[in-house]
Order: sequence, then structure tokens, then C-alpha cells
Amino acid sequence: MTREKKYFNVSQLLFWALIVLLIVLSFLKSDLGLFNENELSRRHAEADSLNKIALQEQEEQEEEENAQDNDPENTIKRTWKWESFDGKIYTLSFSIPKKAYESARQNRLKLPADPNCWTGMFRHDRSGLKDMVEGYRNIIEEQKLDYRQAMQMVVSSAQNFDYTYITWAKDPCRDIRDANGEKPSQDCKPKPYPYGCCDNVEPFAVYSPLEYAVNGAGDCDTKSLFAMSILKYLNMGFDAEMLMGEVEAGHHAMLGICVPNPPFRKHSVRDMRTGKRYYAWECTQRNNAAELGAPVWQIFKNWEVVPIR
Amino acid sequence: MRLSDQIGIDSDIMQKLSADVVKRQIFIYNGISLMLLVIGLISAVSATVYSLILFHSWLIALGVGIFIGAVVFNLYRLFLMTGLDLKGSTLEHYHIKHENHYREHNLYALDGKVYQHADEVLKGWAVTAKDKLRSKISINPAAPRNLFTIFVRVFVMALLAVIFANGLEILMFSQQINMALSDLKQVLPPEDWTYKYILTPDPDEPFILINANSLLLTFDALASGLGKWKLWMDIMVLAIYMIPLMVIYRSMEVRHGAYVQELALHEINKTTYHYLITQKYCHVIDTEIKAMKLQFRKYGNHTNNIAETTSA
Repeated sequence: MTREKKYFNVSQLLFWALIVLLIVLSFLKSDLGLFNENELSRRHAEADSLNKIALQEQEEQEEEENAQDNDPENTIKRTWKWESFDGKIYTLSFSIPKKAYESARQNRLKLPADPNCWTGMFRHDRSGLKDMVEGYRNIIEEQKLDYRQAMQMVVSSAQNFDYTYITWAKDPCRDIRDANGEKPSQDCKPKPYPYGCCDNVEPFAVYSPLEYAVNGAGDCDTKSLFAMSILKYLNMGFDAEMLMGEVEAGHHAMLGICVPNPPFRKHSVRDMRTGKRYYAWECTQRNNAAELGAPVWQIFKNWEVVPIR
Repeated sequence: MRLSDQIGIDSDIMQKLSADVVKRQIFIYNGISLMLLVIGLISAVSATVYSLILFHSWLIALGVGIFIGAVVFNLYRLFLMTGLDLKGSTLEHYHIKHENHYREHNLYALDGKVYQHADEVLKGWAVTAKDKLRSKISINPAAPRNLFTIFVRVFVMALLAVIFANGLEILMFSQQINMALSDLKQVLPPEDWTYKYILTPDPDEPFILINANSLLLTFDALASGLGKWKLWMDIMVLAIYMIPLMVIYRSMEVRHGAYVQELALHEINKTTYHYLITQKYCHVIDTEIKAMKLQFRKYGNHTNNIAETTSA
């Protein structure tokens, strides 16, 4: 067959092959599992107010429980003082019921050992962090911060504590080495280099936002989850989500924010479910301001948005 | 009736070609016709699906489907047949300006003589000139095309393909979409607007095919259910719609094929013959008018009459 003849014959063959494939697919669609019937309901539940109603019910129930714990002896008091990127010094005093702290710890242990546990922690800690969130809100109102300054203020507070390794049984502190080959300190508290390390934080080597507020010990996912939770609780009109992926140091988690005209564009991840683009913000580095473009990582691959609802 | 007749192919003009060439050309155009009929059918089915969701009536849906299918078939036929041009062929020089043909084949020299000959003789001259022209045909396969017209055709057909792909997919996955919509209905409270107006049929207009009143919700169910497979299905339908256009623009057997050259020769021959006929009858009528000895009056308010000497 000449090359001239080949073109038409191949095109015709392709045409009919595609038609046959369409017909075959229409018969085998169920067997091949091409269609996921549950996806529409799942997406609807994520986006619709039904989910919010469930959250509200949970919140009201927890508020009732916490009302019984107003005794000062049963609360943990903390005062955070930190410098934001614009040089302003902020002070935040807050109290957390001891019962809420214990409940957050117990709740963490019941959650799955995967990124879904972040949603469980976010939902559970809302009422326990109420006083702290009010404190952030007061700062925003008193200082008359716009949404961008408020965002910077919250994230800089999460970045303020020194990095602490958070590990689980699979990967204990004694096996940890940093980039210089240095072993971390065995203390489970934020401290200057060599950093502290917390062992056996099950099930996913992450502290809940409430635990972070009390202890200040956290690594990438703990700090990002704390910042994301506070931003979500403040409900300032923009989206914040958890981002998960790989950088040159290995698996990593970052805070993702979805704002119009973002102040930094170095790395971003699109949520394929909603089409929104989330800009990645490093929470483990002090003074990593949004305007600086967060140029922390050179390798940035396989990142995805983990929706927290 | 051949299939190729459906897209306007006149196989009679290929009489002077060898049987093998004619057979191959007819095979190709039959194939293209069949592709276009299938594309028209897909469009008709898809339009029927859309109409069923919108109107909940088989009668209206079938009417709309047949109409849209016919429109797409004819539009595609138009795109294909007007895409057959002579770019890269030496015939283009004669086809776009027939005077070149008359000049090169000494037809101007016959201007004063053609009246002496019968119409059949003139036809013979035109055919002879056409045969001489056929022997001059050469093809430059690398000749550039008008990219703008190609882009417009490809864009329009791609747009239609994506629109009709959705209808086809809704038909293919109608059962699964209905299951997804049923799940959604279960999680919605009965007072919800979507529940009441989109997922509940009017007593007078029961749902047909898809259990929803909304095309957008149906698209949403389709896209969320298929996920990444939706893109692959769309690409498959897009490929089906694009293949006939690709054949027209890329296949040398079509683009510079014997049929296109013969069609051009046929058109040149027709024009040549009518040019000669025109010359002949111009001369004849001119002679007759002169023989009438017409006398034109000086003043415009009187009609021209034949001179008295003639009428007497």
C-alpha cells in the first residue's frame, strides 16, 4: 500500500474503531466501573449547607459541655507574644479548658492514620479554641487590620515557635537526623537548634490545633493545620486548606490560601474538585512572609489540596 | 444511488480515468459519506437527548433531533466540499482565470469562425482543450493552505463535537446518572428547591431518560461521576468529528486526488464550451440584427420601429 493510500485507510479504520469503542463502552460501562454514582452526593454534601448544619450541631453540643468548665482552676492559660512581618508586636492571652485539651488528645488517638485526621481535629477543636479565636478577632478589630494583615498576623503567630519534630512509633526520635546529620533533642518542646522532638504522637505524627496552642510544639503539618484552623474559624471570607506533597526534604505539608490577587505566587496547587487555586505558604519558617514569595523549596511536586470541612 | 452522491460527488465526471482510479476515488468518497452520516446521526441522537431533558416529550425531541442532525450533516458537507480546492495543482492557474486556458489553447483565434460550426463541433473543441489541459497537470504537495479557513472549520466542528459529546455521554450513562440523582435526592430535605423543582417531576410531565429537569445538574452528575474519564470520552467524540476534516486536508488521495482535478477540468470544460457557444450565437444574432436594417429614431419619446421598407 502506498503512503497516499495508507492515510485514508488508517483514518477510516480509526474512525470505525472509535465508533466501535463507544458502542462497547456503552455496554460495558458498569463492568468497567467508569462511573462513580456516589460522587455527586459527596460533592454536594461538601459544598452544601447540610454539612455546615451538622458542624453547627456538634459545636453547640461541645459548647454546652465546655460551659461546665469555666472554673479558672480547670483552665490552661497561655500568653503568646510575637512579631509579625511588618514589625508589629502582638500579644495574645487566652485560656483553654483542661477538659478540652484532654478531649483533643483523646480525639486525636481515635482518628485515622492518614490526612483525613486533620478534618477530625479541625472539627473537634473549634469550641476549645473559642477563647483564642476571640483573642485573634479582638486584635484584628482593635488594630483595624485588613484581611491580608490579619492573615499575616495569624500565620506569623503559628511560625513563631521554634520547629519541633513530631514523630510516631514508625519513625521514632532516635532515628531522626536533620540535613546536617544532627540528632534532635529528646525534649518535646519548642527550642532553638538542635530542635526538640516529640515521640509517639499517634496516629499520624501530628498534634491537633488545640494541642499546639497549649504546647507550641509542632512541625510542618501541625503548624499548617493550626494556622489553617484559626483562619477558617475566623471566617474572614477567603479559603484556607491543607496542602500535601513533596519537596527536596521529602513529604511535606503547607498551608494553602485561596485569595484574589495573592501576595505570592511561587508555588500553588489547584483543587481539581472546585477549580480553586491555593497558594502554598511555609509555616515552619519564622518570618516567611507572604510578600517575600516564600522561596523555600526548589522541588515542588505531587502536591494536592486536602479539603478540610 | 451511491453513498457518495449524498455529499454531492458526481462520479460521471471521472469517465476518462482508469477503472482502478475511479473505483478507489468512489471508495474514498463513499467512506467519507458514511462518516458524515454517522456524525449526523450522533448529532441527532445527542440533540434528542438534550431535548428530552428540556421538553419531556418524545415527539418534540425527535423533531429537534432530526432537524439538528440534518443541519450538522449539511454543515459538515459544506465544510468538506468547499475545502476541496486546487492549491498546489497547476490547474489552479486555469481554474481561477479561464482566460489563461483560452489563450494557451488558441480558443481566442476561433472567435470569428465558431459560427460556422455545429454545437457538437464546439463541444469537441472544448473537450480537446480539456484533454490537453489534463496532460499538463502537476502537483506540488508542499503548497501552502489558507490556515484561517482551516482554523474556522476545525474550530466550529470541534465546538459542535464537544457539545454533542455531552449528549451522547448522558445517553450512555443515563442509568448511572439517575442513580446519582436518586442518591442526591435522598440527602436533600424535601423543602429544598432542587428537590422540589429539579428532582421531582410535574404530574403532567413525567421524566424521560434522565430524572431531572435541569441540564446543568445532569452535566454536573455526569462530570462528577465520570471524573477523568469524561475528558477521554470527550476526546474520543472529538476525534470522531475531526477525522473527515483531517482526511480532506491531509490525505493526498483527496486533497490532490483524481476527483478534484477532474471536477476542476469539468468546470473549465463547461465554461469553455459555453464561451464558444456564446461567441457563436453572438455572431448569429449580430448578423440577424444587421439584416433587419433597424432605423433608430432621433427622439426618445417614440419607440423604435422597423423601417417601413422592411415592414412593407
